[in-house]
Amino acid sequence: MNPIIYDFKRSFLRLSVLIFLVVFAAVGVGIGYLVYHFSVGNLPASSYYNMNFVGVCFGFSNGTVKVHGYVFDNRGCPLVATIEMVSNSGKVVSMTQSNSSGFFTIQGNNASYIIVKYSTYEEKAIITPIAAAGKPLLQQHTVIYTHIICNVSDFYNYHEYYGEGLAVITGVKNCVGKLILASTFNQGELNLTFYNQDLKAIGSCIINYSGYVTINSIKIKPGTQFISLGSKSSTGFTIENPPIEYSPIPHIEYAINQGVISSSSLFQSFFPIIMIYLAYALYSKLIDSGAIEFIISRPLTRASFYLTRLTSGLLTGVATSIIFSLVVGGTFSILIHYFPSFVVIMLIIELISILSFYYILSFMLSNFIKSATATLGISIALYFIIRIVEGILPIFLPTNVSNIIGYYVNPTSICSVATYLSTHLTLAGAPFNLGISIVAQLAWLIGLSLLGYLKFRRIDL
Amino acid sequence: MAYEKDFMIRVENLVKFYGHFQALKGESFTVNDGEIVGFVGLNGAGKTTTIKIATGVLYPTSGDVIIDGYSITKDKKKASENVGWVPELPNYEQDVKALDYFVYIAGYYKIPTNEARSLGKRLFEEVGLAGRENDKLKNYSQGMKKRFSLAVSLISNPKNFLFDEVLNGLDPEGIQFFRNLALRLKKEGKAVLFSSHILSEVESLADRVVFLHKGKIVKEEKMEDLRKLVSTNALRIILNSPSEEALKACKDFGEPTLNNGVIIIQNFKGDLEDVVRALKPFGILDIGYVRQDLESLFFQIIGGIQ
Repeated sequence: MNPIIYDFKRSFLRLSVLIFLVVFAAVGVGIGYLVYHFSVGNLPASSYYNMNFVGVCFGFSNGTVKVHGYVFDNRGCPLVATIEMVSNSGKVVSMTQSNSSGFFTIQGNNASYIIVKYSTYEEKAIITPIAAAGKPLLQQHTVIYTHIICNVSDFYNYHEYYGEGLAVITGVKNCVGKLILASTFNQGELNLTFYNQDLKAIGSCIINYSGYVTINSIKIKPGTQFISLGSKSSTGFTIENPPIEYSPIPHIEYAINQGVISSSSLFQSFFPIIMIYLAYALYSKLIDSGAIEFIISRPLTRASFYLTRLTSGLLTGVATSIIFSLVVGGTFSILIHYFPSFVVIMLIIELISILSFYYILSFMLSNFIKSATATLGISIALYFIIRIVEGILPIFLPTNVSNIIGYYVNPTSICSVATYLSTHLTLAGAPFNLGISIVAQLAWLIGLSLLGYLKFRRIDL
Repeated sequence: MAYEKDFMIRVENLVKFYGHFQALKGESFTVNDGEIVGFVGLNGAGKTTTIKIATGVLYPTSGDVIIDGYSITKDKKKASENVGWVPELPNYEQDVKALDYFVYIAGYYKIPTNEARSLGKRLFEEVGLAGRENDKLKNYSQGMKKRFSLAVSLISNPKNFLFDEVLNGLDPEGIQFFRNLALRLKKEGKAVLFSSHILSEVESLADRVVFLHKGKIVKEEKMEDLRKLVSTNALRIILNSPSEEALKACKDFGEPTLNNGVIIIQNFKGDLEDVVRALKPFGILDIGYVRQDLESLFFQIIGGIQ
């Protein structure tokens, strides 16, 4: 058996690791569930559906209702769905299907609402016989009212109803997403202004549309945290809206972010101690007791032994981080039928950064301190000292100095970066340089490993 | 780099410092194919240090050990593949099952799991640990631990063995087992370096003895030459019917004394055959030169050095 796999199995399947993983995961799930109830638990089930529609509804004086609409999934891609127009008595007065591009037009008399069906999803939207604007429009063309109907889940990145229309940005990836626009005017101009977290305008774009429902690809300026809309219709009707929040990840994921952060707090605080204990059991104790001699006398070099034990412990840290994060993410996945991948990835990065550092720290110290129990005690003491200093320093230091220490000097700088990303969702405007933070983190991990090895290489076992 | 393959184990001018203390002062010796070399010395003489250097556990301050043509300091992997080590006090990770640990160690010899498992079962049986494969190593006795070490050292079927005080703490059965094993290995043409405090065991096993004292080799002799060295000029005769007459018959060969039925002829002069002839009527049960034991010789040697 490959010694790395064997050591990994022995470290990962250790009772202490498994017990603490299960306990912390259970606590994490509990906290996650609690946060879910306070944040997103009160949302209707449709908030989690992977089916959305928007449409523009026209009411004619003879009682006919006509709807132009678009059915799409959470990434903004078209869906072929069944649309029914239903009267007040529940009778289906008309039925159609959206085409392969997701568009549909349906018409019927005395309809009260439409139902859109796709897969197991079924959503309805009320047709209000009084225009949303509160007055009939274009009476000369027999249209007595017009308004927007929609049913959009909480997976959008941006959602704004601006009087004569509705703008939804969804499916954003690498700053490019889809802008789904429904307007009571079939021609006009939409002006989007992008703002950063300080509400400073950082860019804009103009969308010229022709059609009641249009789909446009849109490039969002990196660092955007708010977007304002200004519209100018073909009739000269203009509206300026104040900026509202934009999130580069689905809105619902942002909403549950706080829940995941809370879920992982206990794990983050205590699991590093388990990693320190692992370094003690896998390495320090081996040197202290002399059991290392029996292994070192085999056909292997000290370098390969050092690397094997180091790697197997780190693999345990990585596996534990991934499993814990997936369990917490999976809880939300069950609750809202959506896996919060961004939040989970950030959590994995945070945990790997912390667990790896404290494992390597203890591993390195084992080469300098003969007594395994002394190494264990000193490592745990260092853990508490570092965590306390991390928490206290920002109180006494100016922000810029505190940022330098937090993102560059901090031995778990990548954890700080991931925490920042979890709450800000973007690196634009971040008070640090990602490259330097990564280098700083690697320097700590590689530097300590190397220092330990240089000592291990020459010690008399 | 492979060296000229003349000796199976070649210790070359080993020097080892622990801080300011010099444990080895430039020792050199060899162990040949099909030979058991006894490695004798007081506690702290440097035997274990020498053996640990030969296994690659310790680095020498200078010098080297060549195993089967490979330097333990420069080509450790290949050198280690060719040597099996049974330490004086085997020390393993405690919370592991014996066979699992065997499979793990076999991984360093690049033996696949299934193969290692069946090899382990076979070797456990060979060393007398059958049925104890799934016991945790912490539950093994000292003797069992040594047998486990032996099983592990046989993984690669090496040509060289280092037995460090292997008989210490063993019951008579264990001593017998390791003695027979050493002889079997010798018969198979393997080189065995056998360090021991029990000099009588060394005497009965070794073809050659290396005496180590305070990190220096003070004597290296073939066992047959040592036997000559420990012989004296006194003849010891056990007769079926010892009598004053027999004693009188011995006076022609030296200064005989009769004690508890055993005649000792001091300052023996003459021929052994003549004595046999002269004493034949009294029924000779045993006759031979009086010898001092190896311990006495060892203390004589180191006494001379000191």
